[in-house]
Parts: sequence; structure tokens; C-alpha cells
Amino acid sequence: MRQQVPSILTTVMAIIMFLVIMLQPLQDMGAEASINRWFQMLGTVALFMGIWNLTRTHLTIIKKRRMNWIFSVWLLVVMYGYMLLGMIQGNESTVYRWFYDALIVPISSTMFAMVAFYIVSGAYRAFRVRNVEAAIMMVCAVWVMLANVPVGDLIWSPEGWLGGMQGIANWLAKVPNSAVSRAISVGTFFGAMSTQLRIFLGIERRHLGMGA
Amino acid sequence: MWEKLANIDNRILYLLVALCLVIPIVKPIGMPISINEDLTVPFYDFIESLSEGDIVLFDISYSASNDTELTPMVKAVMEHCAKKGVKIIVAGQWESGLYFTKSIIEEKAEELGLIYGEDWVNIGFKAGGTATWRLMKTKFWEGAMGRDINDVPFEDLPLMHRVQRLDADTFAAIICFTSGSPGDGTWITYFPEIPLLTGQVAVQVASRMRYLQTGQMKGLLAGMRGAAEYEQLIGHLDVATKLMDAQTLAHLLVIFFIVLGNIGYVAGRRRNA
Amino acid sequence: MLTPELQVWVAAFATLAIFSFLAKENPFYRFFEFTVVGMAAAHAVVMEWDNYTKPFFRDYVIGEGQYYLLTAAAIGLLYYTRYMNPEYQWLSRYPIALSVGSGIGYSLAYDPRPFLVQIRGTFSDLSHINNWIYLVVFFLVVLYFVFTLGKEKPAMQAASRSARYAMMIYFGIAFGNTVQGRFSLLIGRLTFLLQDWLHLITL
Repeated sequence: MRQQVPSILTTVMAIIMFLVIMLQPLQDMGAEASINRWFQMLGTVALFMGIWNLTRTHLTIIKKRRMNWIFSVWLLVVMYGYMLLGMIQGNESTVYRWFYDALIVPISSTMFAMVAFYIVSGAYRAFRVRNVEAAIMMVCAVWVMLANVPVGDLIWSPEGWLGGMQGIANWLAKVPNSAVSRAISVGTFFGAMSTQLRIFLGIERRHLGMGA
Repeated sequence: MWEKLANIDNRILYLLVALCLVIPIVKPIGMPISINEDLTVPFYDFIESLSEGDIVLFDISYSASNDTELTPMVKAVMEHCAKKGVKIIVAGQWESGLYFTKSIIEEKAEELGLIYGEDWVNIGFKAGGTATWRLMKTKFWEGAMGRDINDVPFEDLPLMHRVQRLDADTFAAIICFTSGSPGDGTWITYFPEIPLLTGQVAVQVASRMRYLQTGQMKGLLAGMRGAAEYEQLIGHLDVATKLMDAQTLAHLLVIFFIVLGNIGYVAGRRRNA
Repeated sequence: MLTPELQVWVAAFATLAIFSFLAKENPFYRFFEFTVVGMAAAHAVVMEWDNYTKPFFRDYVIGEGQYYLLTAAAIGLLYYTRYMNPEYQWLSRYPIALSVGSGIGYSLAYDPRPFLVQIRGTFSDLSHINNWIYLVVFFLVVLYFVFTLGKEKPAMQAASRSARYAMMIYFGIAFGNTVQGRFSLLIGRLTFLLQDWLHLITL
């Protein structure tokens, strides 16, 4: 019940899903849509998992008076307050949207934007041309950075030989870059398929919290 | 002395970055932008080849964080479609995408003189992931719950009477503006027969070039530069074009610091040798 | 010059608070960091509730009488056993097993096609030199990653080195595009501060 049945369920469900998609009579019956709706229901009742986990973590911090515990109190207040506001009034309510636009949008956008500063300091401190590979990477990076901005056109015009900076950047992107990207995706595909087959055959059971 | 070049305080770097961006935003230089023949031109040419009355699907699959790169593209492509008389169905694979772009798209549509229900419809985000889109392939109204983003029934929207299926006979193209997953992958995997055009954040461009080569994508707009180029092509210079000068200085600054760091590194090695 | 609208002020202070982390970590930053973590978690629940949970129960279960969905709801509740006593935690394996199985079935049915189109595209139209370069680079990198053949032979070492050089081109281009993308985000935030908050510019 605890180990074999979940593993068998994984395999059986995979077969059912595969057949539902592949067999036209089942497609015509709308079986795929019904099964997908069933799985969406399965997932949607677990909507409080994240909240529960955060609550457990921060209640522990508050109980043990760890560093910055007062912020954990604030987090729980904000989280449950905002959640109740949204569930009662709906996500389209004026108040709910006001807080979303005032806090979530600017803060999450700014956190992404901070990466730009770290890129500069990282490139400055870590990007060292120590060997041929690093030199190739740096030349390509600098070339693409210049080609992506108007100053690249001023340095070497697109009307010039080989299409200028942009022409060469396009060639690098279309030929070697695209070939490498495709080859990496081949490797990823093989890896993903082999893992899926291992799970399908019951060899791999780590997704169930068990060893292989 | 030269080794000190490799050890400038981070806060000075950050200050320089801020200055290099703020100054050209406040006082743009206005450098000319050339058009990318391999990415932007095929995208533009495809829309240009569409006929009046053709229907396209806009997929808004990004969040507020990527607003600067992708929203200018959405507005520029919308304007191009409006000029061609192409009808637009707006949808989204991301809840957050249409949540913050709804008012922006409505304002743009009003500016372009588009009539809601006849020239364009926003069906909103539809829950259910790829299963919902697959259902819309044969039963569009059922998959989309028969209502638009404002809960107006499809029966009341004349344009929707032409849209019964999500297939190549109904839609001339899918135009996906995406910053992650789900995004263009859905259309490539489940709807390969419908021509796909994408507006991508710059970070994803390198990994998407392979789809252009196989024809799985017909055109690609690359980040803010792609948006600026498209604005040039449609003859309406807007936000993306005005912000390219800041982008230029940012790139030059990064290159400067890479070179500076390496000079300091080489000088330090020579000193220690 | 400064807008009286409270929302823009709150957003501006939140933005500056996050930027203050660049100087040093401080309580101002931490306050807004914890605020957004709490609000984002709540927002995810609200969106799930409004887009999935409420409509599913209202429209499908009660509206259309699709009572079979209640079995899914019952099994889905087993997810919460992960947070219970260890003697009950194994029950969460059931919904996980079903979800993973469904995902595998879906993937086995749909994923090969776009991948095979990509493989076919590698061999198409070999009349142009670029496509030959493409083919060679593709095989070198596949050889490097997928085929664990002996790397002692000089030919394999040369192939491996060439594949690494090609990958460095890919990483360099990726880095260049990443710089562009990340600075676009930063430009967006600065534009908000300068235009919407301080009204110093009009774009």
C-alpha cells in the first residue's frame, strides 16, 4: 500500500493518458478533456499547501524568537489579511488591485531589475580571460552586446561587408549558437525521456519519496 | 596601481550604472537604429502579408517584470494589425499577463479606433493549461467557457461567431509574447499547423533561434531592441525607441568594466610573476 | 512635481527600499521583502481560488453535475498529509503518483514530435555551407554530451575541444542577450521612478 501501489498507479495513469491522447475514438468522446479536468481538480484542492508551509516555518521562527522574528509576524499578518481580502472580495476588487499594483508589481519587478547591477559587478570581478574558451566567450558576448545597440551600427554599418556587426552577430546566432542550442536540447530530451521511462517502469521512485 | 583597477568598490559600480541609465533616459541622444533582417523583418513581412479580415491570436504570456521589453512590442504589433485590418483575439496563458495588460491593451485599442466585439476581443486567461487550449482546438467556445474577460457572452460579440475552432483555417497566425513557460512551447507542441510569431525577452532569444531555422517560428522580436525596430518599421516611434540610448550606455558600461577588470587582472599577474 | 497619488508613492518607496539592499542590508529592505513574500503567496492562493477552485465547484460539480470530480478532490486532499505525523505522510504519495503518471503519459504522447522536427531540420537543405557548419557543430556537441566514448584518442580530443569552443559561442551570445534583458528590466524601474513618481520625463 505504501510503496508498490503508488508506483503501479504512476505506470497505469501514464498508460491511460497515453491511450486517451492517441486513440481517436477516445478523443472523439472528449475523454482527454474529462481526465484533464479531473487532474485540475486534484491539484486545485491543494491550493493552501504553500500558505501552510510558510505558516509552519514562520511560526517556528516566532516561537523560538529567532533573528528578525518580528518580520515573520508581519509576514503572516499580511499573508492572511491579503488572502482573506482576495477570497472575499475577488481578485478584481479595487482594493485588492490597489495593493497588487502598489506592492507586488514594483517589488517583484525591482528584484528582477537588481540582477542588472549584479551582472555588472559579476562581469567586472569574475569574467577573466584565462584561456581560449573564455576568450571566445568574451569576444562573442562583447560582439552581441555591441550589435544589439545602435552604437554597433556606428562602429560597423549593416550596409558594410558581411552585414556589419549585426550581420556577423546574426550569423553567430543562427549557425553555431542555434546548433549548440539544438544539441543541448537533444541531450535534455534524451535525459528527460530516460527518466520518464525509468519512472514508468517503476525503476525510479524518488518522486514518491522513496529510493530508486 | 593597475591591480586596483580590479578592486573597485561595488557601490561605486552601482552608482555608475545608475548614472549611465538615468542620464540618457532624461536626455535621450537619439541614435539611429537599424532593422534586423533575420528576426524583425520576417515578423513584419508576415503581418504585412495578411489580408483584411484575417484573424490572429495574441498570447500575452508574461508578467509585470517584463513589461518594459514586451508591452511596447504588443502595442506596435497591435497597431500594425489595425492598419492592415486584421482582427485580434487576445488571450493569455499566464494569469498575471492579462491581469496587468488589460487596461493597456484597451487604451491602445481605443487609440487605434478598434471596435470591441468587431475588430478585437479579449477572451482573458483560461484556467486549465494546455488541456484547455487543446479543447479549444475543436470547441473554442466550450474551452473558453463561452465568455470574454468582462464576462460578456460570445453570442454578443460578432467577431467570435467566426471563431469556432483554434485551427489554421480560422487563425492566420498566433503571436505569442512570452517571457517563460507556458509560452511558445504550447503552440510549437500542440498547434504546429498554425504559423507562429513570437516576441521574446532578450534572455530567451539565444535558445529560440533553432525554431526559426526549422520554420516552427516564422519571425521573432528580440527584447527591447526588437520592439524599437518594429516601431521604426510601422513608423510610430514610441517608448522602446526612446529607451534604446539608455540600453546603449548600459552595454558600453558592462564592456568597459569587463576590459577594466581584465587589465587589472593581467597587471596583477605580471606583478606577481 | 511630486504626484499626490498614494499608490505611486507606496510603489516608489517599495522600489527604493529594494534598491537600498545594494548599499547594505537594512530593516527598510527587509520589511518590504517580507511584505512581498506574504502577499505573493496570498495572491497565488486567491488566483487559484478565483480561476480554478470556485468555478470548478460552482460550474462543473454543482452546475453540470460532474460529481466524479469529487473523487479527485478527495484524493487531492491527501497532499496535506505531508504536513502531518510521519505515520500518515505516505498517503501523499497517491496524488503525486497520479499526477506524475499523467504528466509522463502526456509527455510521451506530445514531446517527441517537435523534437523530431528539430532533428529533421538539422539535415534539411545541405546545399548551403552554413547548413554544413550547422550539422558539424551539432554533431560535435551531441558527441560531447551524449556519447561517452573514450576521450583518449586525438580525434576525440580534437572533437571535444571544438565542441567546447562552439559552446562558448553559445554561452557568450546568451550572456550578451542576458545583459540586454536584465538592463531592460532596470530601465523599466528607473522609468517608473522618473516618469510616474517624479514627473521628470514624459515618454
